[in-house]
Amino acid sequence: MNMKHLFLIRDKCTGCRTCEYSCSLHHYNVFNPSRSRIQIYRTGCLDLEAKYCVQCVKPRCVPACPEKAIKQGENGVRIESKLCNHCGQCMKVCDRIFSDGCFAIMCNNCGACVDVCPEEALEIRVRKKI
Amino acid sequence: MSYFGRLLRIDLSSNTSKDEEISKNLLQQFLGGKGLGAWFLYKEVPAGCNPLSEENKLIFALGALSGTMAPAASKYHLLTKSPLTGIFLDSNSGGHFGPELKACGYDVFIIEGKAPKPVIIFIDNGRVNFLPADDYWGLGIYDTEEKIRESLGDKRIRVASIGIAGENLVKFACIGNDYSRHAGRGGAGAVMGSKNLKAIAVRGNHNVEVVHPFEFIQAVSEANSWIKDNPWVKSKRRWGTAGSAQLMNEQGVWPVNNFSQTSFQQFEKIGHEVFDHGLVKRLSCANCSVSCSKGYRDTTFTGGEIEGPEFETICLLGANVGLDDPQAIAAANYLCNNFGLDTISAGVVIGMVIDALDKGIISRKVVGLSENKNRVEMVLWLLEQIANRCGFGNIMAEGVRDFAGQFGLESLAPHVKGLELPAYDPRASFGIGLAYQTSDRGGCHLRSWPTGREITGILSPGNSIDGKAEFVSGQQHEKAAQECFGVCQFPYGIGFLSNSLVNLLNAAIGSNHDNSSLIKVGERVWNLARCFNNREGITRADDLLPAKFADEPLPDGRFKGTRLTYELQNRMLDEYYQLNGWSSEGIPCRKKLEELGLDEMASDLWGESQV
Repeated sequence: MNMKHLFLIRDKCTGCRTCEYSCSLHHYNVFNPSRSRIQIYRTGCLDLEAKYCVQCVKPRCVPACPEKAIKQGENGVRIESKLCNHCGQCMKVCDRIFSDGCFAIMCNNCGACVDVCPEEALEIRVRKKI
Repeated sequence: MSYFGRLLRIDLSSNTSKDEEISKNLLQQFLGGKGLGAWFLYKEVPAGCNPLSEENKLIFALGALSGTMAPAASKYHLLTKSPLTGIFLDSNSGGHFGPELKACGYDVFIIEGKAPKPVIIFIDNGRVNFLPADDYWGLGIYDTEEKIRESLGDKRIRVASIGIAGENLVKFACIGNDYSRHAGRGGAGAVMGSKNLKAIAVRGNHNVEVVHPFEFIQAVSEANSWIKDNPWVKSKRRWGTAGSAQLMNEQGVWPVNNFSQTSFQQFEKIGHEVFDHGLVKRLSCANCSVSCSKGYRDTTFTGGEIEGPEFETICLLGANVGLDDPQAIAAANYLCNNFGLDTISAGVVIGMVIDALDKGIISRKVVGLSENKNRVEMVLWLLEQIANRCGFGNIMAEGVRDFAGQFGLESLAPHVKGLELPAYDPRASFGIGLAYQTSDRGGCHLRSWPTGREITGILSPGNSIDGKAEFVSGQQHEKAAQECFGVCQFPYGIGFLSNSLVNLLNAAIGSNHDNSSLIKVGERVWNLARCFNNREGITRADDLLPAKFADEPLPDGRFKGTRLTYELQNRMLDEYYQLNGWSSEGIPCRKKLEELGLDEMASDLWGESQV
């Protein structure tokens, strides 16, 4: 089974955060980077850090969710919003899951950020699962 | 709509904040950013007040496109009365602070009063927290930003802060955000310092929405295509602003050794290729595809990192102070960033001191300089002295106008209305001369920039006044309108060179603007700023360059022997005032103000209407 996941080429990223805006637009029809499933942090004058779900082979978030809202299926790890009660347990075990204010959110490889990246720093890659 | 229509008023004296409405009429008249901020500045900061007193205010204004995905909508505008010039100040900065501020749910933030003790304001999605800043007082801008994020435990928080220069009320102290981005000019950092305000931390979770989403996305895509094909952008993307240095040096426009020459002998040592060779990281402000920011590291003197050095810094803290070592320029830039000093003003003041030392007007002893300090050590040491207001640095911290006044060097000090001149010698570009003469905040190159068109031949050459008044007047209005959008000028050029901005605005706020109606908005903003200055006593006599540029011919370069005489300056002013509808004393006429809907300002300047 092949696993799709988002991938950021760090050296290319300039931290413009167009991905964050595009993500919030795609999922919520608004501009709100705080509700983006990819987050770019500035960690130093010339340092950036990017956080987004990388589709771990053995995800810690799945067993952490007391509501069983996070499942690992054929398309990868997904959060089922209607089961999520926003308890925050998943965010405690993984800093690649965020809150949109109502639910836990994670990247679902939709690619909305890929096409808009002016530096062509984002790709959807496929990882062969053993 | 991409507006919230709300204003947040924060009173530091009483630790309170208040939510207010911004009228639709005001948003229509001024759009946002500089325009909206200028309105509140005129209305709320009383004439004649001391800029460093409690009466002055800090007005953070976001643009009509701030917080959206519009390309390069990264700027916040800061309006205040400048302690350096005593007049109107609009300073802006990119990075990521502006959009985060907008996401707090407000278009304008007015900070007033004075905190009894050092304080940090944390605006958490619109809720204001006043945090003690005792542990932060004395820290540099970089450390302040990191420490706040660490102590509040959120890497998403954005910070605008002052360094020790702002704390010590250095008149050209700036406000820094995202480490290396600054609202640099005019001394807004000292206003923050005078209010005991160390930093503003923000985190915003509000949705920003537009009126016509489909049209807006279309406009974003068209704007991005236009920006990609804009030939000016290609050089900025490749080299940053440093890429302009070679041309300006070749064209003999570049100030060297305190504006006494225009081409730098050792230019090769500090050209853009040198800095490119040491490139550490390319960075961008929010939603910008230009990425003009070229991260560089000084590994020799301070170990400091910077975005840049930019063109202005390479000139004014390089060629203008006789530094030909890229690492030393980067070190000086880093110190300015962290102390919170404007690199342009600092470079001009230091250039002036070095010139006075070389001419024997002042002695090393008076300055407190030991004999064994070389040029690099001297520049870095002087920056520290200024930021700390130590010894001679205390005089330099007042800005070049006051410094020159103390030593009888008035005619030599490169400034207009107290604001130090940027990196274009007006004798080699008469257009920029007029732009300096008439800029709303004093000697500034960002309100109109005729130099490029003089070089490319679109305008008459740099040593001619033909057509300059018309160009400068028109471009100032366009730029003023553009500065209401909250966008950076680099991707779009100055003004409305394409329909990109117009289409973005109309889709975002549901308006029916075209180029000409927007230029009218710009004219309104420009006149409002002039009214503020007139109310402070500015007249034609202040719209002139220092005698140096009128009397001393350029000694070298393409325009060797050229002066921008007072006769030429006055001829440009006559034409400029007439085009603007201003009196021969440089005061906007009643008719012009009423035509622009500025009736209240007309009454203030000309008395109540008799009709």
